[in-house]
Amino acid sequence: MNPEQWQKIEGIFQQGLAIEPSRRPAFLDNACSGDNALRREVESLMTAHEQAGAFLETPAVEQAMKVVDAASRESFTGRVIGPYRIIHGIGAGGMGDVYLAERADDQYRKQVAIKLIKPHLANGSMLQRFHIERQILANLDHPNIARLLDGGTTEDGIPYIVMDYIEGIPIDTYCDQQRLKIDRRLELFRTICSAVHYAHQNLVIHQDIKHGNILVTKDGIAKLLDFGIAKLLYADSSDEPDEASGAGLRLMTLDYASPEQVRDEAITTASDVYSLGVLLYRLLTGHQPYRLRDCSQGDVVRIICEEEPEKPSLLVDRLHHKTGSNFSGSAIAMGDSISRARREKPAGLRRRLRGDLDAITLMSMRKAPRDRYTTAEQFSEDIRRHLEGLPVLAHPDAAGYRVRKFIGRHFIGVAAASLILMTLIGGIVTTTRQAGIAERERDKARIEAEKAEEINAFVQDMLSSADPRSRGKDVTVAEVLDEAARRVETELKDQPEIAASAQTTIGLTYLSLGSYEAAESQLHKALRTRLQLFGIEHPDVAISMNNLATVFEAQGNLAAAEPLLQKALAILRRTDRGKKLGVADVLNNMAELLFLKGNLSAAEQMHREELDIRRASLGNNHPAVAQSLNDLAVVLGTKGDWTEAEKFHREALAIIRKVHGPEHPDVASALSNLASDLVARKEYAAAEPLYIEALELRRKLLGNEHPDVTWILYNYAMTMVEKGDFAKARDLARQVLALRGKSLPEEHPMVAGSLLVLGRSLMGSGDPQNAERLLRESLELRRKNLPVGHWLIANTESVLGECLTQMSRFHEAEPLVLDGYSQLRKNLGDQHERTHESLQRIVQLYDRWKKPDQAARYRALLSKP
Amino acid sequence: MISSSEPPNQEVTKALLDWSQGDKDALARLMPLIYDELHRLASRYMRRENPGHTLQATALINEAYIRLVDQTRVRWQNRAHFLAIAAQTMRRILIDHARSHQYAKRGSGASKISLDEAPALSAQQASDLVELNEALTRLAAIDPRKSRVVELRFFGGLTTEEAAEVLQTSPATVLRDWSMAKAWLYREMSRSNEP
Repeated sequence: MNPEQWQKIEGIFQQGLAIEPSRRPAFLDNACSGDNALRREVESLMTAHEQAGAFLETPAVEQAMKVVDAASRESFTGRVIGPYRIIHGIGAGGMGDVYLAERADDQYRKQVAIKLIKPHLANGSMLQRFHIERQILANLDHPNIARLLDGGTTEDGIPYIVMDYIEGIPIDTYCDQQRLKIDRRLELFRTICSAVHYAHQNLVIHQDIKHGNILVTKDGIAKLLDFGIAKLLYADSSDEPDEASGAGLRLMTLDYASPEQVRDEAITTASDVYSLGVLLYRLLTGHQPYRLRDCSQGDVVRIICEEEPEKPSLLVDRLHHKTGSNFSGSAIAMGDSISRARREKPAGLRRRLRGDLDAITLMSMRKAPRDRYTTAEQFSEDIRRHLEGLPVLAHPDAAGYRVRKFIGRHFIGVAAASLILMTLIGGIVTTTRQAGIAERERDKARIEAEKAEEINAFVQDMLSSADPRSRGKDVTVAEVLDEAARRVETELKDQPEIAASAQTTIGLTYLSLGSYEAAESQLHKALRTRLQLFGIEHPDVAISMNNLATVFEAQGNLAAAEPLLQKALAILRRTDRGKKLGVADVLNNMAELLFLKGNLSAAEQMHREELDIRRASLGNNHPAVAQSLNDLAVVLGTKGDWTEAEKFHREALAIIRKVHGPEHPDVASALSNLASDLVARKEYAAAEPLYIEALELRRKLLGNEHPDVTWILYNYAMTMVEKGDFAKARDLARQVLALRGKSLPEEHPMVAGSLLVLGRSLMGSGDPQNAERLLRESLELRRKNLPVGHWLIANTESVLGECLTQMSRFHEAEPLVLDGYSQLRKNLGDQHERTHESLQRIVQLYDRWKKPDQAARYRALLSKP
Repeated sequence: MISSSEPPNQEVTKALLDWSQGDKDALARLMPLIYDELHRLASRYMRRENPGHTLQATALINEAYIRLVDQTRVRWQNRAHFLAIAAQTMRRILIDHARSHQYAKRGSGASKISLDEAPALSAQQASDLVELNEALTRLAAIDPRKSRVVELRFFGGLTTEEAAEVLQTSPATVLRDWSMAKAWLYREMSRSNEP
């Protein structure tokens, strides 16, 4: 074809395209003027143009990248990584490609599997976690765990993990190939449980248990791969909440994901129990419990979180009888092949699964973690009982009660320990960030990060070497911390700066556990060290002071806390020229202290300043902002401004739920505080369910004796007194007082408060004699621990006066009710509920004392608006 | 990400300058350098494992350019040269791979830890690419500019505007070339697929 022809064709083609299709034949007749070959050529091109559609419209870049990528994987063969030489690729998974390798030094020929982690997963925080946890993982030594041998970073920066090379096939394929009977499958499954339990005892959660991760060797031994790797990779990086959220979900095998995993909530050992349950379901039935393919992400979450899986026995029955519309015409074949692979007839398999095995499987897959088996061992034991014909724990009807009881006794052990591990790391990050804020140069921030890594490594090492096995199953978190605290002193003697940070972390963890004395000791040591290192004009010193003051405040020792906070605030105001978040933290504590001292206006002012600082630098949806809102609301509520208080509390609750989800300690606090606003407006009925929800949540998260649980009990008790439900109030107040001298310090404000509640309840139920004793004790505590003129003293005096009035000891009652009223009026104003009540007590006194003139005078004050 | 702070590659910058000044050998030096860069980008993009995310071709090549070329030393036309070479490189990568894997059987019987590995190209994709490449070579003999438009847009992922920049013509011309080339190639490939 010559250029002229081609040009002519193109000219007609382009013009033709511009013309409406119905007029094209006429146009072509004219344009080609009898040249049939030309016309055919143009026509066929125009037809092709119509048909081509999306042809070539999507650039081939994606394919090109796949090709380049595949080529790079092939090119790894023969490469040397550390002491290993790669032999060939053996697979690709979500985390990275796996290669068979052997030691390159030829000293002894050991084959290993090397996993090269996908570069995008290998950000800085992953490398840091990897560094920390490598040793813990390498220490996992169990016949059913493929051991992590080594790890590092290649010359071009790709992190890698070296594991035992397991020659085997996935467990489900193995079971079917060997046509293992149900009993044999259960025995094999129990070995996996023992591996998982062993790892849990070593504070390692697998997080990615699935059939593809369990290989069975030719000797029939099951080996669990990739222990702890998932957590290493998918743990949230708190600096990038947007990128981190859902990252785990995206990479996780959804078929095995528990409700808490798909909801991005806290993952515990119970999540592994769930995944083991899914595995058992598959080994028994040949199927996954849910059909998640082709579902949207929203549907997947809904199905996993809400739908009950079908009983294994019903599933195999349905497959056999072809009753399910979900499955195609091959259903009979499928049902038959499933039972054949288990050496059963279809009906026999159904009978084998019905009852115990249905119950055991579904129990392990319960939606709420607390409703599952507590440990992998318990799961395994139940299977053993089934195999031996003994009654099993899991039974649909009786299960709830017995199991809950068991969990109540044993839950603290392993699961709590792993939670604490996460808390510790969180604590370090926070501490570091606070310090980082105070310093402007980026270099310093980097040094901080390196320091944090060292501290992390240290604390992690502590936790792993505490060795739960040596003390039996119920090693407590406190024991782990004690050990860590002891070793900081000896092993970090030469690195005082790091020791101080570690002590800070340990101290704050003690504080969060409510162990005040231990917390104080650790934080004190940290402060002393920092003073020696930095002198007084240093943000870290101020932060240490603030931490220590927090412990004193929590113990009710305001006199010790106040000077520390004043100093910390002054230092930070001078040294923190950044976003002033450190200043906001101290303001928060200071405001709380002023509030406890009864100086409400100053407290309000400080909280408002703190709220402004936090909003300006953190935005609106941040836990710290919620905290400020919440604390400010408490102050406003106490001042009597309930409407404003409720508004801020609701705002705080919304932020907290958005940031943390429904099951978080702060949700409980917000609920409880909102409840107290309602109480103030006498909406007791509305408040009670909020307290109950908050109490349940806190008990679940913190155990029964935690001071935060006590606070709710206490507030709830107060509400019941107000409501006039004295029996309930008495019960609740006694629960609080039972902790006195145990988890609750002897002279804690809550002790005085509970004595008051108890006294009022007894008064209410006509027992003023005993009430008097309790009220006097309360008053004595208040007078001892609070400044003269504090409204809480006044209030207690007023109540005691009421009690004496009831017993007609009017002379004794008179000064108490009068003094109480005048102090309350001075502190809280005329309009305050407590002031009002104390005025009523005066009227009551004079009424019963038969002094109508005085009664009338005070009654007149009562009716004033 | 792991290595985002390296300085632009002076070697690439120089080769690009040489090539734009008429040194034909510079192209031979450039392609492997660009290939290496695509390599790096590829492993990053491919391992994202985010099925909902389609690869932004333009972004990819532009990223390579920014990373490889010292912006202070090249005139704006050099960017066009670079885009052209990158597109050519991508074409070569794909076609080489498609040719070598077109009839090759998949790997030996090494035991797999995980079974979700898939070949980079399906057999159909590979043979389509080889065929397209041949048709494109025939088109180049008739109308070189149209052939390059396809190379730039399909293999290089360039936008109409970028292709116009490379070819020193108007976007409207690129669009006209594209519709004609697409129709011609489609017809060629349908013909050869007929029994």
